[in-house]
Amino acid sequence: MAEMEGTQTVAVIGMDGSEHSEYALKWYKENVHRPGNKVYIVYSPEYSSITNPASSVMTGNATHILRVVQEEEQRISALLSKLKEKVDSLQLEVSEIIRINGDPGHKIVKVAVEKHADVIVVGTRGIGKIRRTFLGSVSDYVIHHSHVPVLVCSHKDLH
Amino acid sequence: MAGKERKVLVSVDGSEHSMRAFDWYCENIHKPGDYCLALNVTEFSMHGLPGILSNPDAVVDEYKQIKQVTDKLMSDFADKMRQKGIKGSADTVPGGGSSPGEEIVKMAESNKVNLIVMGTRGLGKLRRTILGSVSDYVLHHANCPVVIVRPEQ
Repeated sequence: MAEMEGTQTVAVIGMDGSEHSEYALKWYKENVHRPGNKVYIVYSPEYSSITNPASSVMTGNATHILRVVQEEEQRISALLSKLKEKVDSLQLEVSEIIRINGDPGHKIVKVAVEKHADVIVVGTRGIGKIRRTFLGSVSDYVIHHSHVPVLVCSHKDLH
Repeated sequence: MAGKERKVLVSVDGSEHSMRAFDWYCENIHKPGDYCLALNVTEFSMHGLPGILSNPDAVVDEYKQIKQVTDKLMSDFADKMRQKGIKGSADTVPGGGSSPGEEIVKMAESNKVNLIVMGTRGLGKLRRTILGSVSDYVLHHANCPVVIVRPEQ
């Protein structure tokens, strides 16, 4: 067993609500996580770009805009609750769930640097409609820009 | 995964990058009971094609030399694993017709490994991309999780 003499690993896990990122979280917990590790989840709810409030701005209708933004926030709160449930069901102690908007790859690497991460964990693909390659654009970005080892959780049944 | 033996394939190419990847695996992932397959895929370059056609002995000699180096590399790895109490194997596979990436993926699949661990760059002088061509291939074709251990920045 590893000696626990204060060697605490910091893991940053990039998630977007997809099956792939849930698989990555589960795999990390079952295979890498050790009690005492600090885990940060960088959560980027993909759909937020689809219901972009900016489109409503064109109407100039303040009430409408407010409603759209509120609905968006409600939707994201619901997703965050679901994520917290998932984390609890895995019995994983997470230090912080950092919700981000836009540019997930860049933000994941940024958080990893800020938190002095020892490892970054990502799935292979997200929910996003653009699937150019098997290796998603986010995991691809992270691999090329990370300063620390990157665990890419690929699963044959999730291709 | 509880109760099932985990198998991890560590790609070894003699570079300090793959050594660092192996060390990282030992410190961060390895649990007692894990089976570690250290795999080296021998690549050997056929430089000077006209020369080869006229001097087959030189090719055989080069092959023997390379084999000596890789055999030593893998036996050193086997020693290192034994020292750390890691059960597993340390093998060399000739990368004849297929690329090292293909051999790694093939080995991973036939052994049903749970994880592949590799560095990004090998010994090769050809450094076309930040992500070496072998790790790039493996990332795109592996059916199991892959850890990419990048060089220290």
